[in-house]
Amino acid sequence: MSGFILGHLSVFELVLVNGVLAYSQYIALRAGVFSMATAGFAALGAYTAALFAVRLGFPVWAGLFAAALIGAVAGLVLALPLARLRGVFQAIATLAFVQIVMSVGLYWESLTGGALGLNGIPKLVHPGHLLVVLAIVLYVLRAVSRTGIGRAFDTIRQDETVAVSLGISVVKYQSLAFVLSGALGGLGGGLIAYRNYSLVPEDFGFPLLIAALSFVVLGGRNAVAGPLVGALILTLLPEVARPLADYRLAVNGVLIVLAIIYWPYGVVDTVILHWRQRKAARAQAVAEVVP
Amino acid sequence: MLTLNKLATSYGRIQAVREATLHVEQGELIALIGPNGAGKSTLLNTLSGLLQPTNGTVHFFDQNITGWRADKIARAGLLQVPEGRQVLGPLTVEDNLLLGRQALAGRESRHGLEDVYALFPILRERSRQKAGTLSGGQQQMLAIGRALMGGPRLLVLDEPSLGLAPIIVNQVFAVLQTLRQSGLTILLVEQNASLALAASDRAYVMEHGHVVLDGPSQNLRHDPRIIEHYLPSAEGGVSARAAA
Repeated sequence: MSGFILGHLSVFELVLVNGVLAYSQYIALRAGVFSMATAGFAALGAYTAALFAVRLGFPVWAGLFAAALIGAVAGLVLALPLARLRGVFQAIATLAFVQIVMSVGLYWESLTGGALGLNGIPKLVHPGHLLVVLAIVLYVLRAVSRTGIGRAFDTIRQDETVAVSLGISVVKYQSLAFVLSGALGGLGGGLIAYRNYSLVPEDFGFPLLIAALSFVVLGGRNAVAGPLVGALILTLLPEVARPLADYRLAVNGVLIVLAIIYWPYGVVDTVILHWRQRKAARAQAVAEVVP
Repeated sequence: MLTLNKLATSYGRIQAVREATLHVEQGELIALIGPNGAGKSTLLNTLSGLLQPTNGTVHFFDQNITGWRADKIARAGLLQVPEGRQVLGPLTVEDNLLLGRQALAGRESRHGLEDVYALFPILRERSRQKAGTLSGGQQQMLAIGRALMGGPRLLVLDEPSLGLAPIIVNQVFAVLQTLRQSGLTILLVEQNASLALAASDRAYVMEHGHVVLDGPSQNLRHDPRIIEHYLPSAEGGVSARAAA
């Protein structure tokens, strides 16, 4: 087993990095925000972390913290105009944000290296770091779920009218979701920077945006484990099915369509649902036998 | 405590509420009755901030809350139980109730989980169940219980009898009486006029966006105009028997 993991360490790292990005997408969707901004947050975080390490010689944790921070700030700034928009209009606005960030990456050559990107970034993160980061992320998400914040997010997502009639401020909680999504996206970007040796703006375009969305749709939107499982499946798939690797985007697309049609709640949520129903059925069977 | 002064609300060019003036005093149970399309629900949605008035003012205690956002009004203690109940189906009964606390925002509620379970024992039995699996009557009880968790200073109910079996309606109204006797102020919108007039202290009658009549419910029940339009003989007979 350990031999297998060592042999696939690089893939294992990628799963964890993608997991963090998946959680950035998850937290936004959970609060009912149709955000596609994760790729943009990741770009900001990645360039920030890379520049901090290359030009300023910051240590790994400081660089990652800066990446998360700039993501959170971007999320907050983005939340202000987006509070006025809903649904698909939010999606389009966040898409524009991703495009703007990519353009800045391309044209601010003195800072970002333009289309050639940033090269020679030291590999600062190792699987240990990634596990620690993911543990922190999961801890934060659990804390959010356990407190009233998670319940407020769920209420807004399910019915905004009910949410406001209960005194829940949609603007406040969706802004909070954007800040958290931004911080996680930035953090994920920082991890990408410290793992990939180089960065180019195209790394953070449409494919990454779709990937982040796919992790959550395939994995599941409710249970906290969902996005990580989605990231695991979609990251491992091209490795396991090597002959299909060239078609990975097409395969991903087919998988998403199949998931939406047959398992609309995602892998984890569907499994949990089945498990609960079986438990309930068994409890009922016992109850019928006993009296 | 609540005063609406010449309130008007429009959907585009259609004026749903033209001029509504009413007031609610502390401890009263007020009914707002009228036919379908009279503007009752529009009026409620305006005072709870879901719709913005085109004219007039809403005062709640000593504050002018006209134009406030709905969530802020809810946190001020003006809590509405929406029409059609609108519980959150995928969440458990208990989670739905706990959500009600969001409206507290530092205020205190006289009703905690235990108090709500005491009012509606069926909710205690179903506390771990998903709210979507409850019957219509149980969902109505849950919606009321959820609003109570938010410590209402004024509880507003939109058509609580809608689509419920008569026996369930009686249970719900019995609880409303209990709440009123404990001092809670209630504003009730009902199409079932006999029921609403039997339960309330005072009532307002709305037609075509206007408040056309108001007074003590006792008097309105014997007002020929009300009897003719709102208390058809069969229903009047039922309510008379219920009152006797």
